[in-house]
Amino acid sequence: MQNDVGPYSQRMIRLRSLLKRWFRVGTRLPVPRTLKTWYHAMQKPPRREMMLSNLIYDFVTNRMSQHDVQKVVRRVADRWEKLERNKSTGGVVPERILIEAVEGLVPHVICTGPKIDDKNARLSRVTGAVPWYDNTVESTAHGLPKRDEIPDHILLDIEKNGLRPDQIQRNAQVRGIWPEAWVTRSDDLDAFCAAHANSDDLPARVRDYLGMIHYDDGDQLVRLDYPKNAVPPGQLFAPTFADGCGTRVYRSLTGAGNWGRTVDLTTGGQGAAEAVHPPIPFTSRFKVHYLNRVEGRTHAFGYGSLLANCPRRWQATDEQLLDSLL
Amino acid sequence: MTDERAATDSDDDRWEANVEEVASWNHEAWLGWLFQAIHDRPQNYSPLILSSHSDLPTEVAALHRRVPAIAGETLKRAVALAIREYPMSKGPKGLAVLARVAGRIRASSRCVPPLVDLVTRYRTALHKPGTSLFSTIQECVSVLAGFAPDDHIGLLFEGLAFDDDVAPQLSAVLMVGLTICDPESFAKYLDRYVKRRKCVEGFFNDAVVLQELFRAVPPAVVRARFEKLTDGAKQYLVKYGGPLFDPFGIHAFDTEHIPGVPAKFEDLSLLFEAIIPAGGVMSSWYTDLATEDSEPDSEDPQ
Repeated sequence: MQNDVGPYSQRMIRLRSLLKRWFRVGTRLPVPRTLKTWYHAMQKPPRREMMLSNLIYDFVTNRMSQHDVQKVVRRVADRWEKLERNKSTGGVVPERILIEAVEGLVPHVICTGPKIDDKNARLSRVTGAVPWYDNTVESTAHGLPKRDEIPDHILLDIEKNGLRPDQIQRNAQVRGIWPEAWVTRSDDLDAFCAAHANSDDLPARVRDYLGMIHYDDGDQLVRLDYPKNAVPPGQLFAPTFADGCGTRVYRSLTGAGNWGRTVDLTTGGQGAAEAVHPPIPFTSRFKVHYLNRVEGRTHAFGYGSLLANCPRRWQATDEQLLDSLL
Repeated sequence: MTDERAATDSDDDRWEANVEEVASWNHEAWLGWLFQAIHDRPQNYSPLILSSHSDLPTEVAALHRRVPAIAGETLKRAVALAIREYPMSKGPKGLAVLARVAGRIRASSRCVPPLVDLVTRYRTALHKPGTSLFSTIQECVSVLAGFAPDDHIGLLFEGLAFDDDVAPQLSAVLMVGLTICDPESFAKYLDRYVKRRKCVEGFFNDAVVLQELFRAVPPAVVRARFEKLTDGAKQYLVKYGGPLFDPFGIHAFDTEHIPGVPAKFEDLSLLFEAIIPAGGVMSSWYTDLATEDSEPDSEDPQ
């Protein structure tokens, strides 16, 4: 049969097969991915916009590597597209998708910000007394039945007499749920405490100054003063949006000497210097100070003021920047 | 929630989202989440939003305070089940976290039986301090002490406290737990503790341990029963009991600025160690004092 076909028809057949092949290839070309609907969902309320602003700030200023940002954004896209396909984005908290993406990449994407090379800095960490005690101290040394709070006299005793090595749990580490610990410069904290020494609500003020919104009325706080060289050289980092993803109040910002800055809950402006480091062993060389109980909730804190003090707010054109990573 | 509200509230919106999320969870959903958070995918608390600054028991307890009572009960049931079904192949550390969660949400009625079973099953681990299994079972004992008084706990603790193989590091918490279960018999438990603490000299913060004891049994009652204690226990109380056992009220003065006067009450212990065995003069004084102190108590309808 084919021999009967003339040269014109043969060319037509070849053209048709070429067109067919091209068409098949054409249909296989990837459709550009976009997270438009997610960006849109993330722009209200201001708290969500703050998270986007942190993400884009760290990306454009290279505080986080492009590779890490890409991994996060792709995870968000995978999850969001799946939800969209199932038409189930309605009931989803969109920032949960971002937090989940980062959680899935912990510990690889945390403690990766700009290094802080400040050898003379004394470090302090303020944290909840109960989680600290439960994860650090051999409670049997105090004969303490586990309850929802640590009696004040025990924390005062630790402050006064310290802890002996055998009163510290095996493998006790300075860290949060995530394998990282947030610290501030002791000098900043000392100056703040000295300025508010006569205040009746010093613990609440410290909580606000350090932006620790997760501590509520009645929570007990302790301050840990680090011994010299407790954090190995090169292990102190400016926090990035990935570090801040597990907290409610965080603003990416590069301050002097690469230090980040806490969000002062009373103003939404800058508070103390802040940094993160990977877990380190807790030893009896740490000095523990009991700051007492927080009294009262946070001041009239507004995410609007947090955004207003942002070094770079999310812009509509940023969508393309992030989409290019997909 | 309006944007206005979200812009000015504290951490409430996070909790609102979490409470809404868990509203429909049954105990199996809770169980799955607990296992996921503890060992399957640590650091991944999806679909809940937890603060990375805190620890799991603190966050779960905070959520428990906010959920309706029925959901709270479901959580308690799930924690009890998780303790029972915990796969030890994953390492004992997660079990300590679960025990702590049980303590923080006060899941006593549901969690005492599985915790007692657990401590009984791994009792021999309490012979070897320094292992991670020891730390976990010790944590369970501390949580159980927080659930006292309870008959099962009393029985378990009695067995542990008088077992010479059980590490002496546990003797204080066992003494406190037992005293909460049976305050009348505190003398027996205090004597045992004083004997055992000598094996780990310096480990205990004795002044603090005594304060825990006095939470369980009022100092007036301790003074009233002073005679029934062994000499060792008497000396211990005088040495570390602070002003409660300071017959001259010396502790009430600011001794720091008086030359020649010991700054710390503990330094006076030598004096009392000399007096008490000397002839019982102090003992009768204590008894009188205790009678005076305990009189108003006896009128108390409680």
